[in-house]
Amino acid sequence: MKLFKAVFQMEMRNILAYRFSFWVNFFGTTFGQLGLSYFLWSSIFGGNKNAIIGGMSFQMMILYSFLAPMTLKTIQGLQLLNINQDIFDGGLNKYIIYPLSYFQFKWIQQITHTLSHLFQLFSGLAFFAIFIGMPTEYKFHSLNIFCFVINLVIASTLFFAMEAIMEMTAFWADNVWSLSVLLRFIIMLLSGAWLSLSLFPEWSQGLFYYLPFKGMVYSPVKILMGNMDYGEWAQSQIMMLVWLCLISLVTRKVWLAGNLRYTGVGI
Amino acid sequence: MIHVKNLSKTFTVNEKEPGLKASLKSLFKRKMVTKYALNNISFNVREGEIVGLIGANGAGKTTLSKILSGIIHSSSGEISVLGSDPWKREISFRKKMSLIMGQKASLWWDLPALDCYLLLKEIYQIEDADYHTRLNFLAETLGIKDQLKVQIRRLSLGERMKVELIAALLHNPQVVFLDEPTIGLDLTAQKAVRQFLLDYRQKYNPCMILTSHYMEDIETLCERIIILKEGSIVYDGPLKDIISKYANEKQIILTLVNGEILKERVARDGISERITSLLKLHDVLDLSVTEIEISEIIEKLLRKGVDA
Repeated sequence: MKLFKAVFQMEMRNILAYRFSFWVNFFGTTFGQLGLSYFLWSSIFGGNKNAIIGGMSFQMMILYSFLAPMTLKTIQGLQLLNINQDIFDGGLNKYIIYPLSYFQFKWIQQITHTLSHLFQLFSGLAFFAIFIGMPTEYKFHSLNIFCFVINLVIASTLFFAMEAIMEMTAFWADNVWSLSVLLRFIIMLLSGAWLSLSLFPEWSQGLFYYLPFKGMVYSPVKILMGNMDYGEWAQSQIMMLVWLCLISLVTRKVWLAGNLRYTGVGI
Repeated sequence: MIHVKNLSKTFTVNEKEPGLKASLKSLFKRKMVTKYALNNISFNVREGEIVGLIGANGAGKTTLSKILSGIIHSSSGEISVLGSDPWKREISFRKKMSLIMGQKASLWWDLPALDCYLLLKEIYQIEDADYHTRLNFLAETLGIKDQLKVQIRRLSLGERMKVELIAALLHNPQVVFLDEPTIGLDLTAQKAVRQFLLDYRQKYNPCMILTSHYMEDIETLCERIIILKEGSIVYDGPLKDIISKYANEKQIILTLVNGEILKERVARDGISERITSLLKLHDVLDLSVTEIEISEIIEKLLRKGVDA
């Protein structure tokens, strides 16, 4: 726990070390996302603002399109874990020397960034509520916020495990950045970050049930909006945990095999 | 403290011909070549000993440090450091050793050193009192106390090396691997680092393995050296013995009355005879007989091997 606190504090200091970047990121993402979702859905709904698309009203759709990319950013935490860079330039050496688990250290960094983005997300939501107004169908419930936060921690850990495998391929190939880009694209598409999953065709809904992506963005946003029942939400969490266990096993295997090839270049 | 027996390490590397055609070909098929980085080497290091690892680039020095610190695994042979197999990377082992890489930062660049040290305090689980005592000793000995609150990326190369040294020694390791600790430093900083390492060794008595291309580092710090050539040990013994063993000549330096200086290499057993003849030939103001420089002997050994 002491180590968690120490790494968390160090990473927060790192985030806050560059004030300019922090504030640009904070305001840029919030207002950019808000403007984009408002104008996009305004033109789609056109003059018929009372229409219902994918089970959501105009107001709910704007709220969803505002929250979904912010949620995606939150669960992506560090964005790049830099495991591939550590393997490529020998940065891994110091974590092998220090008496700690490399993945534990990276995971704490990831969660710290997730919590930092979460602060940004809630600030954006408060701005939304004050200046735009929450949709009339929106149901505030403190339990939903609790579920949302728990959901983001699980989703962030799952993203971490997926990204770690992609980046660990650097043990075998020098430049693996494209794999991370591919993973991001798949998550963006299948998690509901671009479009609500309710807008996807009927046949794909069954598929989403078994995939880990639904719980990463669609479920947390919907539960926060009070637009999903707890049973469906819990199912998506269980599916994410099952996938997390499977991916963690693969991660361990890849890590052990990759270490045999590691040359610690850079020193 | 360190036992190495019949250690070998091979690397498989990709070899590519120059040019676009070869680049395209390498997308489908690559030529892999196996190279020996270390070839059947054995040695032991005792507590409190500082051993200098010397060798040309690619001789296997850094590979050896990496294997002994658990960063990479060996291809064959037995290794024990502090009673552990480094490759197992046991937490108890990692708490007792340290690796200082002159060319590689191990701290977090965006933070001041003091913030990094607080993290290391938790990683190594150092008691508050020990942490403050050691930090004070290390910072004062290195004369870097005023720079500890400055972001590391803003420090000079010499200052960075000093904060790295503190980070590596804060947990009082029993085995320290020093890989080029003075590389890129100016003469004053080099001297300060050397003196610091001597002071540290006197106070805590760790075993140290030093890799350096600077002969002054080796001569100041090491009583014993291991010379590596193409992955094999060509010399392992006291630094001073290398002169009696491999330098069969001495140097006579004559300062003549007219100010001219003459230098001549002479076989050890023919010195008195040669001095007599030189004194007859020249008007000599001063005469001295010196040993050949250690660096020269080592260079010769590296170039020609033990038969030099």
